[in-house]
Amino acid sequence: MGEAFQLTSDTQLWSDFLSGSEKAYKIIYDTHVQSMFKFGSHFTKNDEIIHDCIHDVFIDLHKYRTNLQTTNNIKKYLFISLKRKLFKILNEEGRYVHFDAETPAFFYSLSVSSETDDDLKSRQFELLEKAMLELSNRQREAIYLRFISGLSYDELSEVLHMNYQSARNLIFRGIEKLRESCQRKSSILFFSFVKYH
Amino acid sequence: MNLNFNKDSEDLIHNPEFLEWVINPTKESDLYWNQFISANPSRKMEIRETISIIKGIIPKEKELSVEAVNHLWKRIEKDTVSTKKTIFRFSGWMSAASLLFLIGVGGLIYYQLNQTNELPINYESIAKVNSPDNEVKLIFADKSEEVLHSNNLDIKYDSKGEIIVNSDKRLTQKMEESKGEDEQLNQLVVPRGKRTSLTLSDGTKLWLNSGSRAIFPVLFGKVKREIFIEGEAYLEVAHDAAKPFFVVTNNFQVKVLGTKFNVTAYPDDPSSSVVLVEGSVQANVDSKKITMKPNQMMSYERETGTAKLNEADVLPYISWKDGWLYCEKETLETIAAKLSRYYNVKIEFKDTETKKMTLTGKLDLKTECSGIFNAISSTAPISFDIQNDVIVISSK
Repeated sequence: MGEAFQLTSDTQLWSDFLSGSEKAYKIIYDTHVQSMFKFGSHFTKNDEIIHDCIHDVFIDLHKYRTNLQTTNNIKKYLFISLKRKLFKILNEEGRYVHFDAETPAFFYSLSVSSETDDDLKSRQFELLEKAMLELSNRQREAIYLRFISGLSYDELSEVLHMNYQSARNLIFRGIEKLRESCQRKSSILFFSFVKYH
Repeated sequence: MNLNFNKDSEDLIHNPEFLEWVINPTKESDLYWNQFISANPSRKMEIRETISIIKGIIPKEKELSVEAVNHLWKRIEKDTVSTKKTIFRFSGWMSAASLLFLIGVGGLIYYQLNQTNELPINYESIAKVNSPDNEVKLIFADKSEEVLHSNNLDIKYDSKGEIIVNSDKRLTQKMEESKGEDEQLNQLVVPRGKRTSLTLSDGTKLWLNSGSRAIFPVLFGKVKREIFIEGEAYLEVAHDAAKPFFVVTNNFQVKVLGTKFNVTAYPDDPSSSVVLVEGSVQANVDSKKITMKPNQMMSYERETGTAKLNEADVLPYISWKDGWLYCEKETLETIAAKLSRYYNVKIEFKDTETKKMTLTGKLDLKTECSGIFNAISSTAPISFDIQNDVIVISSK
């Protein structure tokens, strides 16, 4: 239901933009710049590079707007473009000695919620954070795209350059692994982790 | 909804609907999954664990500040606004005719013309020919020179290419036979401390400021009009819709059909700029085409090779033509650089703090140099000292 609405509005906004609307262009920027920056910040700690890449993505968008195809998910489109720009620069700049566009590092530290002051919760937090580190970069990225960015399996598989089934498996195994790691260490920890859903 | 699950064996993390509920719960899905949990108490633990993991993996992320979002948008807007109308529109340019605008440009190196198949003119080699002098010089196509002694010269090329100096003296020059009319290039060199006005064969008028030069054909060709400017010049381009007018500098060129404008192009300035007073011009910087609106300034930083477009008050940029120097919160250093060129004097600062002082107001350039510094020192807390042709400025 929510997705159907998203579909129409994104498709409409995009087609407005393609037919020359500067307003649509600005809306696209305002809507997505924050999530683009956040996504980008998982690949590099250098904010300037992310700024530059977002800039370049939008310049290209404007420049080639007459040749662009329709899309029903602008975010996916922007994430793919941003990743391409970022990898190009990170590769060139040699920021990483072993920067590998196939399996780039995906930094992921957890946000400490305001309620993590009691002992039990902070231990849970530590466990989960440690478990995240045990995942592969691709797994972290896939989980991020699915649960934080809210992309569908279809969409995130495009961002990850893999097929639908592989992307799904990546996430399932990732969550499974997280659960195992946490269970292995303590089975009671998650009990009070969340209030009833 | 069907609560008779065959999900017993299946781990719920394999269930997309379950995950969707965890991420985006709705009333409907809440109802469904709460019923599911009641119906499958054995799986309560599994469900809670999965939820807590997914809810727990909120990443610690930096956010863009409001300023950063706006700043980034300004950058994007600037670079897209300029590329919006890359197609040269004839009718648009015709209506821009006889309007006034102003340009500042800088430096002198190779320049590549992209409009036609012709070979670009190597202005650098032409401009290199002579070294700076103390008198205004006109250099003809055959490289012979005419030195003109006057502080305020007026030079006019008529439609046949004949030259009239200060409305009485006539100059003729030998044309190079191997070249076409529009390839006979003349060069006007105005040293520091001098100003000259120049009328070209098409009726276009230029005011050249101190320390400037213009390279132009005696007669223009059939397709376009093109001149080169180094230093600063104010131009009133004669209208001719069929022959667009190009002002070329090392950093960019400006394309226009017929209008009035001012060009500044000093090689020793770190930046060059175009300021448009009225109408519309197109500045071509590298491969970028920047279409300007009135009261905008396009500035180009040589060091970084970047061009930006800003709103600007045009008056300070055009007032020199009428013998005024308008300053709007300008640093003493910037003002000194202009005065140094205008009066051909060396200006030094005793300390850097004085350099950074800012001044607002207007200076009458028709007065003598020392008069200008008297005026400055009566308003700003500075004193000046003339030592062997060098003016030394220090704070009071």
